[in-house]
Order: sequence, then structure tokens, then C-alpha cells
Amino acid sequence: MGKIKSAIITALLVAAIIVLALFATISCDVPNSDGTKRYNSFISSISLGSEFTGDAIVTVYPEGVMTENDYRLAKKDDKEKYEYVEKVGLYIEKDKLEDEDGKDISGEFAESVKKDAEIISDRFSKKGYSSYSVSVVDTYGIKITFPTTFSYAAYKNYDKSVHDKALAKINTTITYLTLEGGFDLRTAATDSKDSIVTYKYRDEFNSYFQSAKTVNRNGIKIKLTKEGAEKLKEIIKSASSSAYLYVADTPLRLPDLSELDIEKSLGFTSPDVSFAKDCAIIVDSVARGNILSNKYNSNNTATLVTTTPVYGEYAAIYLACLVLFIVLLAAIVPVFKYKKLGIVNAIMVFAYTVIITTAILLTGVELTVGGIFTALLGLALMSFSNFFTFEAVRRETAVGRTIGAAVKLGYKKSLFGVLDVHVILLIASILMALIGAGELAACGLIFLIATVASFVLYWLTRFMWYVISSPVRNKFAFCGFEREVEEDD
Amino acid sequence: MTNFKPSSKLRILAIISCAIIVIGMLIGTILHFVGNGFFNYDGEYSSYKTVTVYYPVIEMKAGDDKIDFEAVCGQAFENAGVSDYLVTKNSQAKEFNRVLEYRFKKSTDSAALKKAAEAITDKIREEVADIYGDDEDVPRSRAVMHDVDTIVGGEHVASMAAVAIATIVVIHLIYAMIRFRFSAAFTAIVADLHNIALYAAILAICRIPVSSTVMVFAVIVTLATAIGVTYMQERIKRNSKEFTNLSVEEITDMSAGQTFKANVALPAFLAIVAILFFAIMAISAMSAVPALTPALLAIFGFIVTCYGTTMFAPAIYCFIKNNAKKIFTKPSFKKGK
Repeated sequence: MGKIKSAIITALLVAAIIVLALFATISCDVPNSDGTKRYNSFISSISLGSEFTGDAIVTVYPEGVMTENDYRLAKKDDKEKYEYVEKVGLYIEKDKLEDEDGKDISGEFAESVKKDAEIISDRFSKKGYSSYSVSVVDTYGIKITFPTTFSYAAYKNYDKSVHDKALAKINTTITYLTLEGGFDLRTAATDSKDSIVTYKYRDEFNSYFQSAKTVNRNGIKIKLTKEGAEKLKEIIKSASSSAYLYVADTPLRLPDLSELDIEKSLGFTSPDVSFAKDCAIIVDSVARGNILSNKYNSNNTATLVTTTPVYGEYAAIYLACLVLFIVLLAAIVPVFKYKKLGIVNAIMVFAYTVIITTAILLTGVELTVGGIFTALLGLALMSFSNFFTFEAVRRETAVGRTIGAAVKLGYKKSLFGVLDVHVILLIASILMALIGAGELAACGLIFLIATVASFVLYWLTRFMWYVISSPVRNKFAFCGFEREVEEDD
Repeated sequence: MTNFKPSSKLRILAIISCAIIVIGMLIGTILHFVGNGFFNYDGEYSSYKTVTVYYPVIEMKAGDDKIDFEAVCGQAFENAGVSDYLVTKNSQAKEFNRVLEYRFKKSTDSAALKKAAEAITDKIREEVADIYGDDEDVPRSRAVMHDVDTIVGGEHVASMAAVAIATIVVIHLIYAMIRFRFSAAFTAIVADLHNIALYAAILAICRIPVSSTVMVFAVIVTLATAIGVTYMQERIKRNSKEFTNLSVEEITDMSAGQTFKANVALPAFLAIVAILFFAIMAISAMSAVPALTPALLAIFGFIVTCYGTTMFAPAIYCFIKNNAKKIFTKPSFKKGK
């Protein structure tokens, strides 16, 4: 390969890495927006785990149960309308604790709350948070703790719109995943009672749906039962224009009969990935018969508490500095040993860092300490694969082979070892991502990307080694290798 | 590494491993019935009691003394005789701006906590009233005791992690069976299970709080074991072809010696990076407490993986190989005799 060709390929690769690195790290105000719009870098847009941005905690109570503070603030009329009894520090409607004959039913009520907590926990488990917990608090309340998943920009409130959006997302999640079950089918997108056709079919309504899942990140696919498909056809026919499926306050427009293959499934597209997931989870939960026994308060915003991260407010910054230090170490140290070949390795280290950052952002995976650790494992895997091969090549050059032959043989000899490790880790990461839950699944996904990136960059190293070293005359000096020269007698 | 002969040490290694595992299982089982569970479950899994303190953000005027709510609470808990707690500072999205949550063990006396909560409520209302007068914020400032029963949540993560680990072990077994031989596959599964059991036993003995971080470390231990054992078996395969005149023990010891550096370096590297991570987090938190558990996990993970891959796996490989040989060389299996 000629000098010019080599320089062009190298320059293109380095330029791509630099441009991507700039987008990944630098946040700034958008020009000509008077500071109203802000570009957030990839790093500051990644969803972070609770170690970095804290947890969101909300305690929901069934209808008819109030905290002491709520009771104090409640209207007099309400207090008089329903008779409240003080129990375990809460104010509970008498009807919930005693039946018409005065028989104590508080045990059944407590049991129903506990059962609801289990259903809510099951719903939260499907959300894919790195950690979460659902508890029964004071017998009649349900406390839900889950990561805020704020990005750094949202957490530090650098960008108010991003912060507000993230908070709204949390509230939507709580509202949707604590829905008791029954949705509305309406023949118009209004709150008017005439348009709500669900009342007619209330008892069997939930049996119309078989399951639901997200497709293509922001799509919702709802599978109908045979009976459900027939009923929905009827409802769509009866609608003057369009019919809607209401999940909480959100209308999902049902397709017209002409454009509908209702026998199979219903498909909706949501502008927001998180909302699509919430919606699919709640529909799926209800379709599988997991309907809550009680209706829970919807005023989550008032009770939502965000915690300070356990490792402190600046944990993300501290860790980012450490990661940067490790990346620089991985890039610079090999240069001392392998000279210019070390620079080729350094380019790959930076390429890996940029690729993994971009991939984490695009997949929307929640980044925890474990996730960062896993991403660094991928970097270690790539670096060790390269060093392992470089040493194999060095051994070949030491016995008098030319660089070309040594590279060929070195790569050939080390291939099985490198492939072994990559295959094992690839399988393990796929298993972690598919079978694991929470943080483990997130780590699995990151490790899957890291392993693939490591293997691709391993071969790119060989290519760039060839490209960059082509115009160089002394290829041994390029790699910091020494060739054993046989002396002439 | 010429004197490194793990193949001859199976008996002593088996005794050490079995002793640790048995002690761990015993402690875990006893505590399962009389303590808080087989493992010491962390906040994600366990039930607890809290005293939650709500108070408004007070904008101080010049010359005012700053109210130290934490000191007020600390004093109240001390007076009530309940001073073993974990405190988190939270902020409420609306209505109130600050929330302090004091978390106590489930076994803490409820009456004492209620008494402390009442004392805190009186004190903070008094303090807030001094500044705001008869404002709405005064009755809203309060401390409430809660009894929290964590019934679900972490268990799901734990069971999924267990399934993932089990699947990794099975895949490792299948991989070793295809890539090497039956004896290597058997070694792989025994080494994996040995390391997992050892790790679980150490967790049970040391009462390290089990959380999702523990699950991640458990998977890393399993993976590092799988990689280490595969690397050693690859070397055994190569050496067996090269040195046909050597015995199984000699080949295994030689291979274990050749892979010793790498098999120590990998877990050591993982442990050092993990400790470095959590050291930084401890600096960020200005407290070593939250970083202590992960750092201990990293150290235990390193010890278990190193011991399992460099000592136990070669010894068990020799044992399996020799015994398999004996079975197949029994006279009854030979044709024509």
C-alpha cells in the first residue's frame, strides 16, 4: 500500500473517532437559540442507575385510605361523608374495615393490598430497572422504589426541559403500572360517557386481550383473543369516526376496519419509548388476569420522593475521571512497549470507547457501576487479545521470520485462544442479557456489545497495522520487535 | 513453577473446600431459621422500619441560626435508645422539599421508634414555628414511623441471576465436551460448581449483605472460572500432543504452571479494577461504608477464582482422568478376556 492511500485511510478513521468523541463528550447551548436549547453530549444523555442519580420513591394508598397529613388537609365534607377510622397511623374508611353486618374485614383488605403489591412488583420487574423494590408499608400502603434513570443532564438540571421530561416519565410509569386494570374503549376521543362503550362489556372486557409487548422500541403490539377480535370489530363499526383504547388518560387510536387485520393483533406507535413499555406492560398484565383488587391514588407527583445517590452527588463525575484515566492508561502504556504498533492499539482503544458510549446511548440501557465495569472488561478483552497476538508475532520474528510471515503465523497461532475467550464471553453475555434481570441483564447487554466490538476491533487492528506500517521501511522498529539475524560465516 | 504440583494435593484441597462449604451451609441454614435468612439480605430484599422526617427548606435570614434537623433527629433517637440506623437524604418533588429517611432493622422496638418520631415532630415544629410563625408549614413538618414489609422485588433479580449462572455452567459443560473430552467437561462442571458453592459459603459465613451487586460478582466469578479452566484445558490438550511420554499428572502440573500467571492475573485484574472503582465511590460518598461490601466481594471473588482455577481444577482433572482410565482398563471391559 502506498503512502497516500495509507495516510487517507488513517486520517479518515482518526477523524471519525475524533468527531464522534466530540459529540460524545461536549455539551453546549445550541447556537442562535439564546440559551433556550441545549445540545447534550452522549455521555450526559445516558440513563444512569440509582448509584449516580438516586432512587424515586412513591407510596400509593388504596382508595379510602389516607395518611395523617392528607386527612388533615382533606375537605370537611369528605371527612363527614365517609366515616374514617384511625389505624396503624392511617385514616381508613370504615367500609373497608367492616362489612354491613359490622364483621371485621380488615384482614381481607390487608391481604388484597399485599396481593396488589405482588402484581405491581411483577409489572415493575418487566420494566427492566437495574434495581427496584415493592413493599407493603403500614399494612395498607404500597411503597415502590426504583431508579430515577435520569441522565446526568437531567439530574443536574443543566437542561430544564430534559429534567421535566424525565420527571414526567417517572410519574407516567407510576400511574400506568399501578392501574387497577380495566381500560376504556371509546367511540370518540372525549370524556363523554356516551362515547365509553366499555361499560357494556365491563365484566368480560379484559378477556379480549391475550398479551401485549413492545416492538421496535416504541411500538405496542396487542394480541387479541378470538372473542376480543369479534367484539372490537363491532365497536369499531359502531364508531362514527375512529374508536379508541384508553389506557389511563391516553387514547390509542384503533385502526379503521379497512386497514385492520384484527384477527392477528393491534399495533400502536408511541412517540416515547418509556411510555410504549409502560403501556405494553399494563395491557399484558391485565390480559394475563393480573388485575388489582383496589384502585390506587393517582396523585403521585405530590408524594414522589427522589433520594440522594448513596455514593454522593458527584459519584458519576468521580467514576468518569477514573474511566478516563484507565482508558488513557490502556492507550498510552502499550506505546512504550510496542512503539508505533502501540499507537495502532491506542486508536483501537479510543474507537472502542466511542463505540461503547454510542451503543449504550442508542440501546437506552441503564448505566450502573456494574455496567461501567463490564464495559471496561470489554476494553481489557480487546487489549489483551491484541497483546496476546502481538507477543505471538514477536515470538515468530525472534526466530528470524519477516514481519509479513510473522504476522500471518502469529495471528494464526493466537486465533484459537482469542476465539475461545470471545465465544465463551459472547454466549455468557447473551445468557445474562436474556435470562438475567435488572442490573445483570443490563450488564449482559453491555458485555454483548463489548465482546462484539472487541472482536471486530481485534481484526481492525490487524488491518490498521498493515495500513499504517505499509509505507514504513523498518517494520521491526515500527513494532518495537527485534529480528534475530543469522551471521554469515 | 516447576515445583507447582496441584495434581497431588487433591485430598487437602478437597478437605479445605468441603470444610468452608459445609461451615457456610451450616451457618446459612441455622440463620435461615433463627436469624434473618440464609444470607444477610440487603435493603432490596429485607423488611425494615423507618422514621421519615418531612420539613420545609428554610431560607435563612441573616443572623438566624441554621437548624440542624439531622442533629435534632439524632438526639431524639439516642434518647429513645435506638441509634442503629441508616440515613438517606431525599427531596420531595412537590409539597415539601426535604425528606430524611432513617432506616432501622425490622426487629427494632416500634414503641421506641414512635416515641422518637413524636419527639422529633414536636421539636421540628417548634423550630419551624420560630421562623415561620403560625404558618401552614408548621403542622406539615412531621416525623412518621413506618413498618415496611418487602415482600417482592429483589427475589426476582436473585432467581434470574441463579438461572443465568446455571445456564452459563451448562453451556460451559457443553462447550468443554465439544472442544475437549468427557473428562475435561466433567472437570469444567465440578470446578464451576465448586467455585459457586465456595463463593456462596463465604457470603453466608461473612454475612455480607446480598444485593444485585452480589449477583453481578457471582456471574463474574463463574465467567472467570470458565475462562481459566478452558485456558488450562487448552494447554493440557496442546501439551498432551507435544509430550506423549509424560504422565497425566506431569502434563496437568506443567499446564497448570504455564497458565498460573494468566489465571491469577485475570481475577486479580478484575478485583483491582473493582476495588479501584469502589474506592473512588467511597471518596465520592465521603464514607467507606457503601463501598466496603463490593470491595470485599471483589477480594473474595479473586480468592475463590484463583484457588478454584489454579489449584482445584487441575487436581480434580487428574483425579477424573485417572479414574476414568481405571474404569476403562478394567478386565471386564476388555474384549476377548
